[in-house]
Amino acid sequence: MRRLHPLTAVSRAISLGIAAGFVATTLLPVVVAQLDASITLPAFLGVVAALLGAGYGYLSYRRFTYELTDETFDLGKGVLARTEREIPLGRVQNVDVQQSLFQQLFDVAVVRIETAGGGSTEATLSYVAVSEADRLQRGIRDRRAALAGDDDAATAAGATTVETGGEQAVDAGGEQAVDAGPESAVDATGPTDATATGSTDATATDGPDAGAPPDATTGVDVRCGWRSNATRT
Amino acid sequence: MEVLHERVRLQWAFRALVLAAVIAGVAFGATFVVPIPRAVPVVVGLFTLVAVLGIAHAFALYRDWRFDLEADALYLERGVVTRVETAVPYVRVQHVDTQRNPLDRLLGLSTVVVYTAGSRGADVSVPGLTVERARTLRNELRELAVDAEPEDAV
Repeated sequence: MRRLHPLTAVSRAISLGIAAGFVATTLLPVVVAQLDASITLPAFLGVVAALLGAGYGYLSYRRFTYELTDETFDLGKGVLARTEREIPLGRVQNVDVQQSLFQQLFDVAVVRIETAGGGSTEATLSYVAVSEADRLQRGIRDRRAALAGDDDAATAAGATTVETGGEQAVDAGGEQAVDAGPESAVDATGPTDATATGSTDATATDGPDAGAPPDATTGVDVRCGWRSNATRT
Repeated sequence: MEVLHERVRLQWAFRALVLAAVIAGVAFGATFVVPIPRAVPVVVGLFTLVAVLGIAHAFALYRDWRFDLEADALYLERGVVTRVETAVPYVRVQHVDTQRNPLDRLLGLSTVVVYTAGSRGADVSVPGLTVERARTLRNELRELAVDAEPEDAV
């Protein structure tokens, strides 16, 4: 089981500590004023609340674990209420890596993994090291390609090729809208690539990994060089 | 067909008590705005009524709950007043959670939540499982979902 980048603990502890301290020092005086207590009480409570908030932030980091297995992406989170989630890689629609200016300074990134289910992002990893984000994105893409390779060998070629082309087109469109950078041109070739290599792959029956193209049969972002362009300045 | 763990009745009964307390609290507050004679007995009576109904519902619901892992779908049957039977094809399962809220953890229970494509907010959950059973059920569902790789994926 892996943990998020240690910077997460610092960031969450600070932001939750400040939030809790702020609430305690601004809301409690209203209550305390009614009780006619001294001025030192809210200050003391503020410090206690800040420490509790910081502790909770740290615990939320400690209790967030994830792991990329051969078939699934597993996730465990929650301090008081626990959730343990398994996402079959075949169901992953999109892996998004984002870096704000602040995150670039510390060489960390936010990874979001989405499926077609639910209303919100299924897995948000905030933050992981850039190298780890890269490993996850590639890992999911490669494993998906291997899984799709299995499928292609087993099922009819036509349906699969059309389907992957469609998926790719959706992804490429999303990318362009968001990044609108030089890579949109690269992404736009996605559908063509997928169709071409997909049909080639369908005829190859020599094993799960051998004939699987890295980019084609997945719904994963095709942003190989996401780090070298776009948000990086 | 599998049934839930007996302790889930405690959980549902507790939830019914909380609901009864909230309703009684609101009603009690309302008596200050609209004064009625014998407010306290009325509010206590209301609390008792809602609590008894809620607890009876919890026990009946436990008796009615069934689920089963069928060949191609997760099958659920539940409901006291309105009977609901749900079949979730494994092909449509997106991902699987086990969730434990503080009350679950107190009672040693766990809930398995199955997310399907396109059912926003109507995700299927199986409550009242032991921690061990929830884990095995999640793993079984994950296996079945991986094996049922869709040919016409969403």
